[in-house]
Amino acid sequence: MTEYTAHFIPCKVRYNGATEEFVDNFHCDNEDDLTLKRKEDDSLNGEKLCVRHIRGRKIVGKKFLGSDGYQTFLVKTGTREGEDGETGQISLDTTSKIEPIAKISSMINYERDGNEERLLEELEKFQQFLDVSDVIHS
Amino acid sequence: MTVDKTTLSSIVALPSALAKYEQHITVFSLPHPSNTSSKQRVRLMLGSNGQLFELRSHVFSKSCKYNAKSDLADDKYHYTTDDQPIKSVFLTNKEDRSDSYVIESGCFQFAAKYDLTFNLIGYYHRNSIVAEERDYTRGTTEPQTCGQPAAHPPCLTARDYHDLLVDSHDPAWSGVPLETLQSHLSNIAEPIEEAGEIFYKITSNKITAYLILKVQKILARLPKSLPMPNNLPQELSEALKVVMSVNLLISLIPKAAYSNLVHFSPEQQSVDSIQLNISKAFDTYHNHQKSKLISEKEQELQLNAAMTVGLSVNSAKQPKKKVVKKSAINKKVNVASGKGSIDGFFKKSKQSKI
Amino acid sequence: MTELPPTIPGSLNSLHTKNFFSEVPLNLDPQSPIILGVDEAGRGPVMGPMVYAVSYCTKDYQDNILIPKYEFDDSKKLTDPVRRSLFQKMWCPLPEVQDEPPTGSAKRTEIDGVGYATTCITPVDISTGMLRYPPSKNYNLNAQAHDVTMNLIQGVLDQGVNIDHVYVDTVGPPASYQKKLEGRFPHVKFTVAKKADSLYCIVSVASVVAKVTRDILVDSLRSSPGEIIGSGYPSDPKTTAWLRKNQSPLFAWPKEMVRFSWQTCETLMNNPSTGSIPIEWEEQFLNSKKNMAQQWAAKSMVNNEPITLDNWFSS
Repeated sequence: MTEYTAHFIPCKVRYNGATEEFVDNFHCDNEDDLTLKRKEDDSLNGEKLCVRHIRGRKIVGKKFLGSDGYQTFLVKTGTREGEDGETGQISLDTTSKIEPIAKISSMINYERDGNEERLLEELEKFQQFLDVSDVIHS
Repeated sequence: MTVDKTTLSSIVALPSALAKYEQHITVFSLPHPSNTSSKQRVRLMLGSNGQLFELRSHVFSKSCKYNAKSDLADDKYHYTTDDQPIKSVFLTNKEDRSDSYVIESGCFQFAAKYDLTFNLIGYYHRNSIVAEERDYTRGTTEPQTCGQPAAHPPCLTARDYHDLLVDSHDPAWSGVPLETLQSHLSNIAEPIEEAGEIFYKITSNKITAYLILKVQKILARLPKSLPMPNNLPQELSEALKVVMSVNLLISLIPKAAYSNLVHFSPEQQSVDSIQLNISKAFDTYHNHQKSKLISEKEQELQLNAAMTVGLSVNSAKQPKKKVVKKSAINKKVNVASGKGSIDGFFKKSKQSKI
Repeated sequence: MTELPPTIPGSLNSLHTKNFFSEVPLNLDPQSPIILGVDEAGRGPVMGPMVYAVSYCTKDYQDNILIPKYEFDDSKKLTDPVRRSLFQKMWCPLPEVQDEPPTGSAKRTEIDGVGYATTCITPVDISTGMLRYPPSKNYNLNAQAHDVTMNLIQGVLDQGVNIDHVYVDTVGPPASYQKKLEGRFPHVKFTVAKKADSLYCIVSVASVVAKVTRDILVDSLRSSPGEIIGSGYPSDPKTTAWLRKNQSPLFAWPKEMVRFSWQTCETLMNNPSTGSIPIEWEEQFLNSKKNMAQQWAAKSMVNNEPITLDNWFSS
């Protein structure tokens, strides 16, 4: 099964579909330390985040659901008709089968450069939910 | 792989217990265990050893419901004109980047361990229905406000319970294996063995005892993001932690079960030698809230009084001034009508004073 | 010219801003005060780096060698070959010296009394600085320029050069900038002026260094020798033609080349006729009706709801 990385990016792209543009774009910027920036903008206290660029914007990301024994898939959930268009949620009323069509080897959530606080806060809170949920349901 | 507008794809994270069945994972749904009418059914998946998982959706770059309004007011979050969070997904193939995709929706789904006992509690309190979570703490939480208790069979085998649930609660219970049901029944029912068979009788006391165990577990791992005020006296701080732990469960239990939990005191009710005095914690918390409210009101009154003193001098004079001004305007307008360019000068000066 | 000036190699194919500091000239006469000029090249263009350069020498060297012997002037008034030739005389070792045995760090160039340094701010750094979120955290072009200038001056001071007077060419208001520089370097005299590259020879030298460095870096961005990208200014029809021709639907242009923070780019990306995929960013929704409505209601907004698993962890 083909493996993909899922990048949750901080913008709304009004498009669904394939593109070959990633060959030359959206690579991880390993030299971000050399970016011209103000000292006070280095707010991450040394935390290493994944840096990429979209249309001149720098985005910073961190992996999630990687170390909790999760395996992620891209699954087919049917056709758009009668489904929740935004969430693509699996139907609630009937029994349905999950049909994986590809593996997602890692998931990275991103926020804009300057908005790192939101990134870390949301990921921390998501982890807290997993922890407390595990406690409640065990 | 195809991701296009006609095929709906979804990113689903599964725990390894489920992932090994990747080709045939069935999702079924049960009524929400809290009996809150605004909530959708829970989507469940069965893993190895009968372990159930709930399929949940999440999207980043969006406020939690509790902070939704204040985050909008504080400009902390913004949404598109069609009310979507500003999030999309890029899927990149590590081996071949020309095989990459854009998904407009930023949502993903993940499976989290799920305790079916909550649905049995939901069934037991099936007459305790509220519209929204906020109804749990609105007004009184006395048990009599939580709906008529439902009728319950005296004792049933797990198989009979299974049939009962399928027939009288929801047909989707048929997706739950008997062994799974049995193990969850024993969490909140007295098992009675007779003629080689085990019969179960769910009791309110057993439910409360089970939920207190959950509260104790939450207390030990209370999420750090919860807004705990600093510098509270030890007793109040401990009480608030208990209140917060109990309230987190509102999302999973009917109001009646919550009410029983809130009023639980080991002095009045002996349940499996549990010592956690939830009732006392809620009393301590409510008393603190009341006294805080009173002192806030007093402060407000003092502040208002101080402001009134300051304002009284001005407010007494202002009406007089206004009257004078109004008559002056009228006069000027009349005079100005035949005075040419100088008229503009006077008009301006008058307006700027107003 | 086959060999590249030393200001180039570090910045070739670099996503991020790089500095270059020449060695300090050996014959800086301690009796004559040292003057330093600052200028930039490529502030306005929508493509390529913005290069800041400083050059320094003794006042005597400027007055007795540079001014009478060389035609340094505002770099825009000089032709490209003249600029390149002048800069070459500053960095290219003289032929006869090349055959001599190595003499350590000593450099023998025709113009051997001038030291220089450059900072090449890449299109990526310009764009990312100007397009941060929230917008209050933006690092605008002026702030970038000021910081880079101060770092260059500090870098030269750190090389042990006792700078007496700095002449700065600026496009912004000179007075406040001069005050800022004097605050940062209280022991150095400053003259900040518009068109300083026409007024002070040492600034002209800096302008030549900056312009030649930028031109070579822009040349290196061409994917083929015949590619026409124009001057890089948004007003240049050749540049806008290049932008239109090379715009891709999702990522638009190579980030190594284009400054996305320029309005020209924004306009093209928002134009449906270019085939651009619409992308919405959070700053577009600042002060939206939704947010304003909640701000109006904020006073009466005391949340007395209990915190639950669902309302605290779900949206």
